[in-house]
Amino acid sequence: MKAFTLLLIRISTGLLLVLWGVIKIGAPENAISVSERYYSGLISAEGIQTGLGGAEIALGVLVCLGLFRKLTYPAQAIVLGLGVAFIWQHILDPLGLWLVDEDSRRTLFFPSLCVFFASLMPLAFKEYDSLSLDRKFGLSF
Amino acid sequence: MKAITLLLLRISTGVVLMLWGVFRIQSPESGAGLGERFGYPGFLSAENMQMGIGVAETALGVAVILGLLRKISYPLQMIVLLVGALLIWKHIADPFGLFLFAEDEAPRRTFFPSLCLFVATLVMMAFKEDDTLSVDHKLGLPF
Repeated sequence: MKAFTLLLIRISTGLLLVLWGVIKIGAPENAISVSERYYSGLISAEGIQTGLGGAEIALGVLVCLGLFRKLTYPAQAIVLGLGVAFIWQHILDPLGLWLVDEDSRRTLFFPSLCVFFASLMPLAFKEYDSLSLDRKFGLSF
Repeated sequence: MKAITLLLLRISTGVVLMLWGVFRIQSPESGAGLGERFGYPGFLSAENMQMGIGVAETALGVAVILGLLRKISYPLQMIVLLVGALLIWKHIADPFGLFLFAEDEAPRRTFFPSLCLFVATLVMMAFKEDDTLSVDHKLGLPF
């Protein structure tokens, strides 16, 4: 049960990264719009979006597979943590009471915090993460 | 580390339930509208029903955050989140609108994390013995 739930959490959070990556590559105009709006335009160049998208897809697949876990799990937590950091006003004020106004509130952003914390679970409980390729291949990751 | 990550997961998923609940209480007409839009059974769309569900969701969210009555509150949260995910299953199964949506429909990709929330609750249930930063555990309750 424990290993199975960790596998499910890896698959669901890994697929979210794949989804983000595919959007960056397949619909860069959407990703650039998000970057302009929430990331202060930091990653608005189309070339950057394509590179980031490819990296996110690769990372998501590796997390799903449980491969190179010493690198991929922390990397996933960092990516998801950064995503949360950029929308912190919406996380702290999901109802639009004091940091964002009612019209610009994005309550659907709040689950990003849950996803970030969920990505910490395979790190915290790695010894139970037996349904991973690292473990199956006896890799030291 | 283990207990802290479980606490963080409890707080964040519990707050999601509270947010849903507060929305239903504050504007039951919006909840009813959502019900009709995403195909809730008709009786759930009534405004009075939305108020009742909102209060129950808020209370459940508080219990999960505190780690109280976990034998009941965690499975209940799991069911609520599962039902929520099932009602938007098309958006989760086909986030790019490739095969489940008509041409004039658009998938909502922001719905995908609903799946993570449901799975996160399963993790909380599976690792309950490590969930030591819970009121149940502190008070020695058999839950």
